[in-house]
Amino acid sequence: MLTREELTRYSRQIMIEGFGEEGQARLKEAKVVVAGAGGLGSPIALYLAAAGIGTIRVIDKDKVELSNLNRQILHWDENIGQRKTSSAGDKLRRINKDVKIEAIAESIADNNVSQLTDGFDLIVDAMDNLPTRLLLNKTAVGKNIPFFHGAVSGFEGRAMTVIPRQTACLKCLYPGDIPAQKTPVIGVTPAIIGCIQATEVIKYITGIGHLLTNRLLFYNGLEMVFDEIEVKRNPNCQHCGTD
Amino acid sequence: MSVKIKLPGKIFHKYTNGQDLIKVEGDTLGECLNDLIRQFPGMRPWVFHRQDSGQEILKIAVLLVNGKSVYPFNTETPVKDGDEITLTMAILGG
Repeated sequence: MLTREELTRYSRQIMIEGFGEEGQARLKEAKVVVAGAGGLGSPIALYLAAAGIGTIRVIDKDKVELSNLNRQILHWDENIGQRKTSSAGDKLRRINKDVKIEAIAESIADNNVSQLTDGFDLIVDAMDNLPTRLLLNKTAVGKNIPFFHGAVSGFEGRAMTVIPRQTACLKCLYPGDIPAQKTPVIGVTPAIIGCIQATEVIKYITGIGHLLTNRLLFYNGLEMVFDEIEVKRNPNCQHCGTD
Repeated sequence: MSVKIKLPGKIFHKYTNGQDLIKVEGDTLGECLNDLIRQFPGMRPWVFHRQDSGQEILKIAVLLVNGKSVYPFNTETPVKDGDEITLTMAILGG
């Protein structure tokens, strides 16, 4: 049930065809994990909070550094040295006081990933390395909850939505294992990819539109080109395979 | 075998003289990739990742042959004359 204030606050998106008060109520009920409060996590969490997602759990183990500020727009000069979860939680509560923000300063690992995502409806990938992304993908597949992948490098980005056991998962996409590397990036790139991920989350929860499933979306900011290729499920996938 | 490698999204333009569709020769994926690197050496770090052990592993994330997903794939995966291979490499920043 939406309050009078919520009906006013979200009136412009409630007007969208197929969205309505029912869609807004679904957002209010939703519980979303945003794994990472950096370049991708900042726009994802900001736009999900502004849209009225009921509960957002932001997980990040790091502290804010000066070199983060070109892209991690949840964090400002005054936050350098603070936990990213503290800085993010503060901004997100200020952008929408009605959203419940759970900020958890932990490293996502084998021994806690299940607990960190327990009771949540979906997981958004805002990580900066493949091993943790794959751990979250495996967890999402195991819990049968959707996973929203995004990644960036320089002016380039990728995104794909995973509906477990129905569409290709991240392990279908990356069957190998590639270690973490420091990646060049300018803030506008995770802004665009993060907003695509947030769009997918909102579409999934409200049930409108067509999801970015079985398709890997490419964004090339230097050429200003969007492209996509089809990705099919790997029947022998270690995470979601059927064979 | 004469094969074409398609690189979507204009991502590697600066390494391939602006080409998205590159003609290569080889009987396996590995041979085709090595021919791609021979023509465009700047592609090497995007195709292979050198591990601390010195072993190189493929950085390719997606491989389509004639528009269809291929699983599993590795450097020994065979290709046929006239195949069009679409591939893209991992990017992992956040």
